[in-house]
Amino acid sequence: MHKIDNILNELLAFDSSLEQNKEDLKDVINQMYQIKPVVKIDTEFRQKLKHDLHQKILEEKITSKWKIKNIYKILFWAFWVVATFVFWFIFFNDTIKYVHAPVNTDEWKKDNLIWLRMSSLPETENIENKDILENNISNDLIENTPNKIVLKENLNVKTLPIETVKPKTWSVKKETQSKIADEVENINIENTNITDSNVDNIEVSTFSVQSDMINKDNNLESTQIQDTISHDDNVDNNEWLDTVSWMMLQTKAPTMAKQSASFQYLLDTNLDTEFQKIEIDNTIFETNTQNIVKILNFESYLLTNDTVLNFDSIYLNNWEYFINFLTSNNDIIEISLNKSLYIYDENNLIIQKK
Amino acid sequence: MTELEIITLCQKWQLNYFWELYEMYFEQIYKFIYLKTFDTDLSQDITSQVFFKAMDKINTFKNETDSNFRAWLYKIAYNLIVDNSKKNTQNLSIDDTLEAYYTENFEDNLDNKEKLKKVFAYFDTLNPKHKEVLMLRVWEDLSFKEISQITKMTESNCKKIVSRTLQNIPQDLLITTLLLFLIK
Repeated sequence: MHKIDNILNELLAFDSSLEQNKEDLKDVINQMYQIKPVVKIDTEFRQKLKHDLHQKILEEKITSKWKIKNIYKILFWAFWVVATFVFWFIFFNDTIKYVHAPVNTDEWKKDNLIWLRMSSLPETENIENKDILENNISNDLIENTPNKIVLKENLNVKTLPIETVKPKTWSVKKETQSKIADEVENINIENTNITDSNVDNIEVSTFSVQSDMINKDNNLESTQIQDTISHDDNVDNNEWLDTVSWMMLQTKAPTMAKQSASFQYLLDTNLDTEFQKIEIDNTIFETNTQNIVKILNFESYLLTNDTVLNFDSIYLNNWEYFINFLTSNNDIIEISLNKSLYIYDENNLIIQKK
Repeated sequence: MTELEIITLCQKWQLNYFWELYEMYFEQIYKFIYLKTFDTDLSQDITSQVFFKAMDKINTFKNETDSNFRAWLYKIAYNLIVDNSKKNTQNLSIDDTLEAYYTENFEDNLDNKEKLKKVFAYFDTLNPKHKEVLMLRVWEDLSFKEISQITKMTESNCKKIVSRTLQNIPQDLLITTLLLFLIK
């Protein structure tokens, strides 16, 4: 009766006009309830469906567990892959950089990755030289100390001819070189200055080498050599400076060749400074890990009969240029590094190790 | 534990609690389907589908205070019945329906079968939607709100349908039928 009243009240609340037929309506609803067919429940079906659902639940549980388990596995391995990569990236960042570095570029030249350089050694090397190199690398070059870098760069000379490593932007006019060569053959250089008006913002830089020289007749001559260097966007001031230094060394080549029969390089391993000092016949060279060689006392390096060159300092950006310069003007150069003596021939090949 | 709490647990993959929902609604759903189909096999088939589907899709049920799980189940059942009737175009006649009903639910084939037949014949004359709403309200005892959720009709529309349909039912028709069931 309660259900019937509920329906009736709902209907009356909805439509008050039904009030006059209220009793009839109630009667009809009541009878509707009465004639509702009886439906028997098949208990067997009920149990079977319950059983089927139970199986389904078990499958779902297994599936969901499998999913969870595998998600954890995937996350676990993903974590280790990422962690390994991050670890590798942090501690072997140089390796990544070098692997992607283009060969024969300035960037590559500055690289310190030993194995990459080793791999570039030509197969045609004679066995003795190759052994020397490998021994040096295994014994001396594994640790990335400034001293070792210098040594490595020395070794690198033999694998990179000067034509290869010289940037294309370095344009020293041939006539300039020949002019200097002609002049200095007979003229002793008194004083040389390098000037450049626009070092910091360079596209095409004009520099000049001002030399005060004493000729055969002991008359002072001032010679100014001018040249231009083209810079692309990648050229920085160090390279510019390097260019100038290289240029200057080239211009003085004949004089040096005459006076410098051999050089002895001594590394001052006791100095724990950013620049490592190298002494060459009373001349102090400093080099840092970027292989910028700073020549502090150049005058004693270029001894002539009665002329002293007066450079405060010259920077060499790449050690191999310096070695090349030396070897290009001497038949044989002896370089002593870490108590080992290396003798370079005119082709920059190590011919002997003592 | 309330129904909403049980549903929450089921939605967190603790499907063991689904039994409680099953026990709660199995009879209602089965009877509803049977009264729509008058076919035991089909009713069992659709009932199975309803509970499997409910278990699969329980995560889609919005477990809120004004949510109604019973209406949700009925809606699944209702949709499955509609789908089935679309697939099965061969409709049983009233005779066949009653025959099946009597065979399954009564030991004797009563003389008053003809009178009951009249009732069903009358129901068949009603608009299917109207008949649906009436059955859901009176026989299934669903609220108008639940009916509106199942049939996607407005609540007031459902009320209007029920009141008018009840007013139009001939008195003698129902009394005759009532006697039939009382005899049984």
